[in-house]
Amino acid sequence: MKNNLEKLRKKQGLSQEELADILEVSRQTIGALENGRYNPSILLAFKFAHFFNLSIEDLFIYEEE
Amino acid sequence: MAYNYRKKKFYIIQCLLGAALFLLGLALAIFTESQTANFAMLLGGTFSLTGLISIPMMKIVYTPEEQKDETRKESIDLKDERNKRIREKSAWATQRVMLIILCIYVAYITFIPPFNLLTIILGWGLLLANTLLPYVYAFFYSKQL
Repeated sequence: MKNNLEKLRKKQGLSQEELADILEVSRQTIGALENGRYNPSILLAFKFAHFFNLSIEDLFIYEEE
Repeated sequence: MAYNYRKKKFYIIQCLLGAALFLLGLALAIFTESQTANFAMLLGGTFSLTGLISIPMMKIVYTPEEQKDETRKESIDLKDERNKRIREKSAWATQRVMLIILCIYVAYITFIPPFNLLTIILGWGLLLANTLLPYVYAFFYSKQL
């Protein structure tokens, strides 16, 4: 699954550490998500969507394998 | 505040209970010569572990205000869903490795002399628990999740 997290985070001028602190996740999780190594739970996906004021589909792009 | 006070009391009792049982087990092991002493030692050791586990918990409860930020970060790391998934995967891998190790250990104490009935029973008990508990928890969580 691809995502626009890195682009959106940088647009807001936030570091991984700051975003992690706001969303109450570890910095490593933000890194893993941005690199596409980790797919978030639906709950975390909603948290991100709420924070960036976007829909989940705008944030995470599903790709069929 | 009341919640923290209850937690503090709980951890203190847990710690004291663990230490008392450990000392009891140790005293029985030193001053008696029966096999019961070995069992008491094992029991004391097990409960002392619960005491040891409670020490880092007490650290969280007793942390001064200026260190709360660090504690918050630790708490976030602990609750982080990716970390949880990592822990689950490691636990599963550990369980599988431990099962193999226990099988070898139990086969060794069962078939190679000198035989000690208590050790054999404890070994088989551990093997049984290690084999059955994942199924028990899987059944429990299949109803919960």
